Amino acid sequence: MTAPGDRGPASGKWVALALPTLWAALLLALPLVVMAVMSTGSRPAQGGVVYDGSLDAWRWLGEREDLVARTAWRSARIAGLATLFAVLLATPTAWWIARAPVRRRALLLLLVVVPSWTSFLLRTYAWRILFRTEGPVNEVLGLVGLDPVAFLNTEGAVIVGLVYGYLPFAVLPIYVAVERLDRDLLHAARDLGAGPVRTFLSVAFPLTLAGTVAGATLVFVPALAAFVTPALLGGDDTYMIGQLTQDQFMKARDWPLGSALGAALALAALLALLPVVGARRAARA
Amino acid sequence: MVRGNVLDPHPRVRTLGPVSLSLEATGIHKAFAGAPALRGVDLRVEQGEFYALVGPSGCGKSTLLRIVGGHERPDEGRITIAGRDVTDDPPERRPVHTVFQHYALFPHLSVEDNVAFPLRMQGVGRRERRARARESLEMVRLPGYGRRSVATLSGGEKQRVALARALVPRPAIVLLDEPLGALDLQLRRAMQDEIRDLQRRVGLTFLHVTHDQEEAFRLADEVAVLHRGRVAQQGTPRDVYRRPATPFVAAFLGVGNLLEGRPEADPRRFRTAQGLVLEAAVPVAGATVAAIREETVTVHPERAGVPSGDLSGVVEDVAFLGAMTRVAVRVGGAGASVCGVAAEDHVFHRGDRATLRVDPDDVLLLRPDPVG
Repeated sequence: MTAPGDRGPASGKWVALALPTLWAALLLALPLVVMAVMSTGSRPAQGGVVYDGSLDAWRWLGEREDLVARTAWRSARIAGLATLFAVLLATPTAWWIARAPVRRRALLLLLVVVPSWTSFLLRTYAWRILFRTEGPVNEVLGLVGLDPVAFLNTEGAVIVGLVYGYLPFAVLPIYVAVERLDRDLLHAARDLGAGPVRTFLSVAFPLTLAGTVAGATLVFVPALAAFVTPALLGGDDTYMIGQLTQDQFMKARDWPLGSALGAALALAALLALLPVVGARRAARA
Repeated sequence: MVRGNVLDPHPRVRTLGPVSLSLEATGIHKAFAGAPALRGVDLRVEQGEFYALVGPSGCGKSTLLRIVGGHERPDEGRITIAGRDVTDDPPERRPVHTVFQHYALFPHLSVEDNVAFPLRMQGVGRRERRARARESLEMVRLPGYGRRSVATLSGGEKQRVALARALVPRPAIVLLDEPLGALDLQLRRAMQDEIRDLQRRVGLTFLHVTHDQEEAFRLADEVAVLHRGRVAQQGTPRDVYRRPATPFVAAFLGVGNLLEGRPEADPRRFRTAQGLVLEAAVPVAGATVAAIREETVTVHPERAGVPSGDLSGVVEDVAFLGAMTRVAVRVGGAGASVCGVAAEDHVFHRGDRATLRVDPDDVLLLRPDPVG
């Protein structure tokens, strides 16, 4: 091997590693650093931030622990339920797409993603219209003789909005896992005496668990930090941590406190994901 | 029909003769998107028998196996297993287990849990499951493999685990779908002997699908040769080898000389399209092909005073095959090439004149393959 021959692939490898690293640094790490720095500033009288190394924002978080914890816990419950329903809906959808003829799959996957091409805000407004007291959903209920239900401003409406908004993020990774699953294993399970339900529970589900976990994570994390959905579909008792953070920036104009809340949420999400990452690593070993 | 119904109110449940049948398939038809895969297959497999389905790819053998296993529904016909009509039953309700070509071991389960899987599905308790799984692993010569991960096994070991898993609940039939197809030649030979031996020890009925004629003949008590969705011939390996029923079966079994033609007025004499006249010991009305195994034809250097019935011509090709030398001789001038074995280690060269000697006992007259 000559020196130039060696240099080519080596430098190629370096670029291949450097580019994504740079990308990750710019898009992921930098905003987090900015947020962390900003959380150590203080709020001037007219709002915004002055960088003075103050820990006032974090101190406030500690003092109002009950409010933060209550909001965080509520957010976790709403996001958790949304994740559960999203996975329950996404799993059969993903299986149905994966079992469709190859040529139809691309179309079905497109249909899953197409709604994301319109503004999330607009689509959430659409749910407001659907859920109004005199809206289409209540009209249908009226046709079958039921009294109108006050859907809006409830936890249920927020969960429906979150499930609707993040369902594609659950469908896609589960679909990939199902699509990769060796069909022979399902035949083998049936052949060895497992009915359709037991085949799913004891073979198909465990073998596509990685996709389910990935899908659940991709729904849970943005649902936990959601602010548009609870703001439009929820009420006072569905106030979520994302709204609390958002309000610091837009209403209270307290950027350091908003940053501290954001940083705390990011940290909490990271801690919540550690067991998942650990379990996947253990499963692979 | 009427009499049948009077005598037997359940015409589908046959009274079993002295030997009980593990499998009876009657009139199986199956088409995929209009293309027929099976066209009226009947099969009877006796209990404890090693039965091989053999044929080239696309002959329908794997489809037939999947129909027996319940993974595919026949368009027409019935499947009876151990005296029970299971045509409408899903795979999990049939007393059969399959050894899949690519093993289909569950990657998330240990070796022992794989083997115990069918027992778990039957609701067998944990202790008994463990004991029987271990016993089954010992049976396939993998003692102590229970705790291993499936991913760490070699191809041959995976094969044995798949066998152990299919055998452990003692099903009425073990179905083997090209089980040795993914193994290299040497391992395949060793596993053939092992599977044969295993089948004798456990005494279960094996239904084995393969495209390899040698494998089928080596393993099976009884074989069925499938050709384009039909059973071209069934019988013991010895009978099928000695008397292939159709030109297809003869070619599939490696009969080197297949000469088209028709019988003469004396039905023992067969005239080929090129004008050769062959004598056959057994006359067959309507025969269109004379089949002669290369190894039964001896090629001699041409001498004066050739006995009648022999054929002579010019050596066209010589191939040294180790145990014998194959010689192709162009006979009758018209261009028919007949292959035989050089007699007495005589060394032939292209262009030599030679005489072929054929025993009428070795000339098989065959009717044409079914059309369509």
